[in-house]
Amino acid sequence: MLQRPSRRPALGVAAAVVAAACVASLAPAVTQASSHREAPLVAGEPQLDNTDVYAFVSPDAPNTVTMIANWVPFEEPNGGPNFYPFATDAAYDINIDNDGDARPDLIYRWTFTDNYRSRNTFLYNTGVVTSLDDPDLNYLQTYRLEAVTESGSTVLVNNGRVAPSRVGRASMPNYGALADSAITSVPGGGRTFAGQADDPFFLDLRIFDLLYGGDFSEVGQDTVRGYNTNTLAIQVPKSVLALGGDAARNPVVGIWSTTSRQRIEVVDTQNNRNRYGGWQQVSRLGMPLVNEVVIPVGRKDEFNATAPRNDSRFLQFVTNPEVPRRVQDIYQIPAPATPRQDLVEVFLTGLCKACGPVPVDLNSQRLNRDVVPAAFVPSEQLRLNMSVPPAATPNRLGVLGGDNAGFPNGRRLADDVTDVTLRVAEGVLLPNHPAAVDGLSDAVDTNAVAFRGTFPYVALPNVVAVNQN
Amino acid sequence: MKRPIIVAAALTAAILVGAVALILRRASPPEPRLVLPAVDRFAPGACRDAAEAVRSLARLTHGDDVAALSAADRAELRRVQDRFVTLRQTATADVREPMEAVILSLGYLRIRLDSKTGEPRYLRDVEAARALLEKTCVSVR
Repeated sequence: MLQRPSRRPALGVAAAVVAAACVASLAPAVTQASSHREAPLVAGEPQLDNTDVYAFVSPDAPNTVTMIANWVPFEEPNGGPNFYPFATDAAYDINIDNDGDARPDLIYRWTFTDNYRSRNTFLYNTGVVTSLDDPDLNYLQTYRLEAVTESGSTVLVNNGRVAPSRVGRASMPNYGALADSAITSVPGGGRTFAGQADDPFFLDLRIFDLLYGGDFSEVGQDTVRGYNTNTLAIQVPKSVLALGGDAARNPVVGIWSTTSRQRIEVVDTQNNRNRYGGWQQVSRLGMPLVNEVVIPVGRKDEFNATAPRNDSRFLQFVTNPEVPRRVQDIYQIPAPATPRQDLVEVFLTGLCKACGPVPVDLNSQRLNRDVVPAAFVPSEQLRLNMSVPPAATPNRLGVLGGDNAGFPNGRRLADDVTDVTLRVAEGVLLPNHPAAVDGLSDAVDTNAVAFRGTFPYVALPNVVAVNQN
Repeated sequence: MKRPIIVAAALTAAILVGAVALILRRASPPEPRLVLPAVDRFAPGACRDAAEAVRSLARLTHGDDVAALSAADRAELRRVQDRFVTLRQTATADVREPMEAVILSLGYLRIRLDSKTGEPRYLRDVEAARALLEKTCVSVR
């Protein structure tokens, strides 16, 4: 039995989940996390490495949804002379599944082309750059943006301009204006941006040093602070994403990013790279930290190449997660009992009363009125109920903090997905969980720099070398 | 004329404040003195082996100031917990249960302290569990 999602049930969800978190009276579920250099193969291919995906109802345009996907982790701001282009032999996709069959119903696909004014200089720019058409901008990428559906592909933007990497204050004294000029309209009432940005993810990545240096005692260092990333952002009306174009009847969508490259590469004697053979997915990301801390190292590359409809092969890693066992080893706090159906619900189905043990309706495509339940396939996606309006005062803990407009109902830039993930992994939404796990944290609660209030929302790229700030 | 009056008033106020502070200090109960049983009062076996850890832990849980625990204190909490984990294998059932309660409460305290979200109640929980273990170990003799 499906329930029509609406604002009122959503508010009820917040109350229910908060109650579960605070009073230990419900049996809910939740999440995973981001992926910087998370798998052996993609760690050596940063241009193909998608790091995070965000999706939220636009706070300044609430009839639209903004989707942001990032690639290329740990861009040192002064990484010239080539800085950080997108790969020209890859397809960068944001996928949308609005009927819950674990197959994309709509794909936004960006492909890139390199453009040099002169190949007889080592410089990215030969003088001060004041516009994207400035002759002093020696290297510029352009892109094609397509919307791919079952019925074919439509070019939305041709020859779009990528905001260049932020070379420095001398080269680009008004970088904000330069970057904003790369925002491009999309037919049908949307807009898109491709270019460099401050990496909006914030966390202490020392979790990989035996949990922050042997235990949690050394938490608090924002490892990503000061680094940049490459952002693709698109803002479109909700109706464009919704099943049947009806965001009132079908407000839930699932979102994930993928990178695909040509299957075959031939290197000739001049070091030219000839690529062909069709696209093959090599990286994916929906919920944050999934491939990073849920999938074991022997399966990470496979996960990156796997379509969501085949996610059942990774089920055991969700139902029997490793993080709680590590915490138990260090703190003697018993890991929650397995199998973790609460994690399955958040991870693979989205939250709905008919989906699993979490007695709330929030963000499963099964809540869409026109979805056929029998056709629903559990899969790992970032799910967003677009009917939940933006929060007036967002809580970094999202749904755990009583704010249904945040993670895991989509993901906003400021959502603290690491703290949420730690707490959920330790069973914060399970009945009778120990209150101590409500306070688990990596002690990095916010991004180092403020996000912008308008599209594309991400902060401008850092310009100071990481070892100087 | 006005100035001497102001000075006199200020002096009087200072004397009054000092007097009140002195009275309050004398009236408030002194910090309870930490009294610990000697090691040889702990029952031989796992209890006697745990005595040093129980006594060390008491020095950390004495009082209610979770914020006062230093990095060295946190390291000591971990050492004490590890010690109990080792000893619980050899403890008899009546001792093992309160010992495991100490281990668990220490886990909650440690993870909160390390997450920088410590609260006094977790310190109190450890002290309650520790006191019960101490009482068990001393009384079973």
